[in-house]
Amino acid sequence: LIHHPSHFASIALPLLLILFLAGCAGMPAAVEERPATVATSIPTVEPAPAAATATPESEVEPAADSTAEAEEATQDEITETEVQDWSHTASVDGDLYVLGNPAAPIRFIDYSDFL
Amino acid sequence: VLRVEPQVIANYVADGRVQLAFWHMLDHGASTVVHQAAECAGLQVPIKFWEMHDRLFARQNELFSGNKETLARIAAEVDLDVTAFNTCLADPEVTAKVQRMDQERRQAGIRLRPTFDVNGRLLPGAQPYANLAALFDEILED
Repeated sequence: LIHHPSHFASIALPLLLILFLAGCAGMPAAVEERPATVATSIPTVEPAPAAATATPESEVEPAADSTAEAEEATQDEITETEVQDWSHTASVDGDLYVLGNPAAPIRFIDYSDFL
Repeated sequence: VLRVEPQVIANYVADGRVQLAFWHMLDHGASTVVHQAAECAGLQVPIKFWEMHDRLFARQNELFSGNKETLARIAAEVDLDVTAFNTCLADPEVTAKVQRMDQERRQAGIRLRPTFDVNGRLLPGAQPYANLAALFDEILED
């Protein structure tokens, strides 16, 4: 049958046509995959990791600031403690006039006459 | 007292390790009114007690007569309200307080002048600064 020209045409032409159409249909599918491939590669280009890295940095800075502030406050407290001069602080405890730190571990009482 | 207390204040009171207190001891006829002067200063402002305390010790030679004018002059020197100070000197409650404290120390057997009390440990008589410093250091190390 295929040796007959009319039969060859009736079989081969539709086959060729099908193959051609199938080929045309396959090309757009490949083009659509590229964007998919590109889309897949975008995250691996690491704009996202860059952004993720930036976020922790912006969070670290305030943390560093607050640590510095805390250290500064501690220094102030230490300095304040170091420079505190209790010899100008007076209080009254019952009958007694007290000079100095009311919470001092030692109470030194002077029994004296001014004359 | 005049020699030792300034050292105690400079080396132990100033940094907050020791608190200094004063107990009235009346051994002379004129003592009561002089001790009242310190009380009356403290009643105006507590730190004035100590300013008056320092001046009364430093100028005791002027005070044996118990002259109230001298006391008023010293009150003015330490920036007290002199009118209120003079009123206070005549206040029987203030007189009663210093006399009661003197009576209490007698009852406690404290006779020598001065006597020091360091956290309940009595040291009769004048003490060299080194003795007091050694005792303070021993207590502070414990």
